[in-house]
Amino acid sequence: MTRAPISVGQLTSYIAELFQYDDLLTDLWVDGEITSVTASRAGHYYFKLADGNASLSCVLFQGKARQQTFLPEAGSQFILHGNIGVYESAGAYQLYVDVVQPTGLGLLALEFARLRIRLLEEGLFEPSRKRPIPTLPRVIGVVTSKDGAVWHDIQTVVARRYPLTRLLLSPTLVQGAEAPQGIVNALQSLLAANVCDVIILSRGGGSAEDLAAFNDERVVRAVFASSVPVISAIGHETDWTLCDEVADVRAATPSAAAEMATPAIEDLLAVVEATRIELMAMMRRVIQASADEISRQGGVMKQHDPRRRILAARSSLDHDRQRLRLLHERAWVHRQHAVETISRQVQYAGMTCLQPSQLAYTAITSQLRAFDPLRTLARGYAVLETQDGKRVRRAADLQGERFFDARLFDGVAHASLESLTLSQDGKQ
Amino acid sequence: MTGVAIAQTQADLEQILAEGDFERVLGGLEQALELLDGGALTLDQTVAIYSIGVGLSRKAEALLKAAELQVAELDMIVDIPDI
Repeated sequence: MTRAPISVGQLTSYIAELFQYDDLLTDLWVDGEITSVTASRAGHYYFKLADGNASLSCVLFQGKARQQTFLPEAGSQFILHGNIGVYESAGAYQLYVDVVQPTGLGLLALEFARLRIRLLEEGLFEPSRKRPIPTLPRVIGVVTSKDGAVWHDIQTVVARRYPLTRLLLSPTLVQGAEAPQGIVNALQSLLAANVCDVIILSRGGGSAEDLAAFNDERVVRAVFASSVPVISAIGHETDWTLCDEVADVRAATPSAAAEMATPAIEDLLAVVEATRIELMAMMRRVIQASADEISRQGGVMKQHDPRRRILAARSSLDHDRQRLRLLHERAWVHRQHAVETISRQVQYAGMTCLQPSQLAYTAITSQLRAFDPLRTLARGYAVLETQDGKRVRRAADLQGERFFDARLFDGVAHASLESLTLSQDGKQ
Repeated sequence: MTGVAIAQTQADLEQILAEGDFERVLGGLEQALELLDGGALTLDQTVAIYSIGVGLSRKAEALLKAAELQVAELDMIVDIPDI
């Protein structure tokens, strides 16, 4: 049967389609020596994988390259995982690599590496989704074998460190073909109980095959889906499973997991004691502050004490008095001085101005002295007075008088009236 | 914090003192410290909160010292243990 010719493009697409549906070519491991590696600026790797008979073009794109522990290196033996595809424009087939592993690993390890990269790409191991472990768990769920040393170790550590918590075991097989589903069921049962604050997923040490259940994708996804933080402690410190990577925290041993899940009772007692001391210190501070406030208010009260004000007023008064006295004395001295000055001035003025008057005064005095009645009496005259003391100015004043006194210069003569003769005109 | 809120907190702390588990007791203790540190309390309230705080610290210590680990096994077929 003759076929009509087809285009190169149609043929290439046909071949590409054949590759896409081939079980072997879509999921294969290939072993060989890497040669002629080229790294593009974008981070893609183009290289050849060869043995003595043939070579295979390979490409490791930047997105996949970032996930690898090992990168292609010329001259080294590697096992590569990926799928065969057609690079249509070049008409060439090549291996699109997603896992790069050094040679010498068994198939289990290779599949582990491949699964790890896939889950890593999905974000199951993202550090940002790791949750903190609660500090005071009320219930700790444990997924492990009921009969192993692990369960015993966890109980011992938790009883010693934080007996206030409760341990809830969800027993399961931890190795063998049925272990992965058993672990998933045990974990999901604990989550369904909805009482755990944290879950420990643990198994004792063993061979890689013994620990294989904890690299099972179902188990890893169950841990990823846990609504409660998970601490994984699988095998010995040197063992590392995918459950360790997906868990919120990885512990080196089951005992270490139990320690991570619990606070130490000594630490808690110390916290309680420290809190009590802080409480007492605060109370002392409050009391001291109150005492200080009372003292301050007492000081303010004292400032307003009436006695204090009276004392202040008295002091002010004394001061004023003192000042007044000083002012008075000063004024007195000043006035005294003024008086003395004036006196001196007056004296001087008297001496200068009154001298003529003094002379006049002397003259007048001399004149007056001439009129002095005593001087007249001294010249031999007498003054007559009636008995009742009236001065006799004329003879008529003696009418009716029987006795009268004649006052002389040096004494009084008591006389009696013999007769009285009045002059004609009555004036003599 | 208002007077009403302080009174409510005081009532809460008293309840924790009466029936709280260790975690609540420790939380209450921290709350008492915060209240005292806040400086918004009257002297009477301070004395009351201090008294509750001392009680909480004693209870926390007693709970720690008296505790005994309780262990249960989750029966996947029968009921979940009452925890």
